[in-house]
Amino acid sequence: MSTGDEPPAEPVVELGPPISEVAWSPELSTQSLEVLILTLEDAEPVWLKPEHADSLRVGLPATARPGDVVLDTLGRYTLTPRVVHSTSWRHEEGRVVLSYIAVVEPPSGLPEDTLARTPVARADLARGDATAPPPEIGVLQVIEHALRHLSWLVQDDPAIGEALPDWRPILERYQPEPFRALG
Amino acid sequence: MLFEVTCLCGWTCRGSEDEVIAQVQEHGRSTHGIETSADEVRATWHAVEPDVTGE
Repeated sequence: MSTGDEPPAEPVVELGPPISEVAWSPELSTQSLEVLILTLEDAEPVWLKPEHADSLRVGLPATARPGDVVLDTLGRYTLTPRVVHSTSWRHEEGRVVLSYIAVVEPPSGLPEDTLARTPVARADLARGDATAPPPEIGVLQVIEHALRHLSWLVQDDPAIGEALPDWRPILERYQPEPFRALG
Repeated sequence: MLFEVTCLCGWTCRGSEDEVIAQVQEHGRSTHGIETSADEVRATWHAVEPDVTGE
């Protein structure tokens, strides 16, 4: 039993400093970034999901460029980005959540107890009214939307197409049926 | 000034400096097995911007 006099036990893991620390006020309509990190494992998409959150959210300082914050965040995990692209936003608990998809090189390792490799499951898109958003939007639906977005970009945007040649067979599954014959 | 902090594991917290330090210490202790002093927590922070209330 501890007497309280012993020096602290050796840490189980060594974590770096927090990935974001920003000023925050509940009185403001604030915004945050959601970074959805995807990679390939055995030629299948894998989501690097945070161990202790439904998705990775980082604060967005007023003066920061969102894409730069995403790149900085990836750097904290020593991940190598291939594509970083904003794909959607939603209003949630009084703040705007701006979602970025980040496709990264398969990592050789990840900091312990931080991100977990999670297979990407297909999901039905969240649907709203013609003039109103869906009442609820789940993270898997955000990823589904993002991959459908990428399936278009990989064909339409040369930079994205060149960055993701090995993703083409996967992204073809995310194309809307009427467009599959047009590639 | 209020802060919002995100840990590498995705855990987040918000509050005043003292509240955030306490939450970060508790999170480090209970989740990652790390004991940190308040100064060590402060030392990991980057510069933050004041909010519009000027607090």
